Amino acid sequence: MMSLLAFLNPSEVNALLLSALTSVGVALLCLPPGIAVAWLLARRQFFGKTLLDTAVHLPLVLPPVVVGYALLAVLGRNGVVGSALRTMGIEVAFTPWAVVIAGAVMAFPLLVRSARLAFEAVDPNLEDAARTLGKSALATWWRVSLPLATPGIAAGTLLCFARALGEFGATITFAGNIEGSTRTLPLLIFTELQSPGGELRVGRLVAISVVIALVALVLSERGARKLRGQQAHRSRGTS
Amino acid sequence: MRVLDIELAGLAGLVALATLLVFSSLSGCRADRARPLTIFTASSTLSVVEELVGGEIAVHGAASSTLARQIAAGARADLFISAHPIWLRTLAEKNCIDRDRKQIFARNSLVIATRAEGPSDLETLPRRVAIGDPAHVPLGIYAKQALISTGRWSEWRERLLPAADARGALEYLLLGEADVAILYRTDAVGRSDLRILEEIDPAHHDPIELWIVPVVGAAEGTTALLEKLTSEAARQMLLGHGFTVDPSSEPAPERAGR
Repeated sequence: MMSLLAFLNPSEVNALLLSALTSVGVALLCLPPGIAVAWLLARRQFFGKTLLDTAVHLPLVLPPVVVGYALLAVLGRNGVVGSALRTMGIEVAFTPWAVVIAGAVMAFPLLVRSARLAFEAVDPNLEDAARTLGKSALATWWRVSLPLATPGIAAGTLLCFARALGEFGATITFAGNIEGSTRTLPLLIFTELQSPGGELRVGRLVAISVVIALVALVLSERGARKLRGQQAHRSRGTS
Repeated sequence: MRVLDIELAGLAGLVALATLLVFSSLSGCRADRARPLTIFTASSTLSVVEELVGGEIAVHGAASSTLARQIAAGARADLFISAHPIWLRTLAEKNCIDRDRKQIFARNSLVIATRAEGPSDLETLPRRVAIGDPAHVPLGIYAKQALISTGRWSEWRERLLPAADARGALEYLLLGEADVAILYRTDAVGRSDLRILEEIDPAHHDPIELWIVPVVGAAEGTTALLEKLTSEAARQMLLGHGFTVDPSSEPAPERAGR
């Protein structure tokens, strides 16, 4: 990885690091609420469930630019929340935080969808068995439901990371395209594509993107294999 | 290890494929012309050009760099109006434009502007400054030159909010996301919602020349349209929009360079 960085110019290194950091940030940020929302949608009936479901999935069907503009309208300098934050000295729009927020909003539904399917696939009989054997609801969730859903959650987290890494429309609208601050890899590729003569640099950046995607896929495949191994081990241990 | 080898081979294959895709997309401009005339114009001139040509001609406005890139990739355009000569050079090298027929369409200058309720002067550093992206947008290229020449670059560079074209820079200012913007004079004058804080001395940047040139393979009628856009009436309208125009539309002096 270090030898790869040596081939790049500073703006490419900046974009690469920014993309990597913000995408990991998005995945980590989405994980806890993603699991909670997925479980709620999979296993609970409550007032406003359809509304929550719709709200979570909205970014998936809206054009990303619209999501970016909505974020700007809410969190921008003159936005409803943004102007309140500004009085506290916090600015979000057009900062690296805006990259994370835009990525999180766009990627969240992918994590939820995948995790929800995983929770729905958990056999309720196993949960009921844990309860009859004296486990509390929380302990059952923690020791039975969550471990069984983990592969699906992991896959969702990877999707979430990948979506954040590729995010463009919401990011350029809400975070801008500021060199060294919010110019992620896709935005750098876009910028190079705007100028005639940028093709060679674009080629390099495309190659980098492919390498990142492959590294992520290989790592996740290994992670999934390890996870399956552990689960097999655990179920042998309990039987 | 076997698995790793397969992964590496797959990786190399994909990298090769991606590279191939990038290079195969570099094919030149195309001539396929049974359709209405299309003008690709720098975003700063979009409204005046639309006004000049009326409704039946398609006018597409964006950063000159973006337009040049699109023309080089085969986009269907008949006339190209560029806010920076550098993109004409690139297109001429690729034989995408009829460089012998290029002429100066108009000239422009830069101002530092703010909203009506914005800061009253530039004594205190602006919080955020909207400009065209200096990486490619002509407005940004000129603005960066001016900032360097006036000694502001080191203080201002961290505060820049680069936009994808000149209209984008104006939009950032109007949205309030930037408190000042470096704009073309023509985008800022005559607006009640904007105030000009400083007119930038043109000595601080390359002359802002808007060039108009036919694209190679342009449709019939392009010559008439070119004449219309460089006529006396057009010059008067450009003047009315705040552009500077040359007294007579002599063909470009650089034609000997070919």
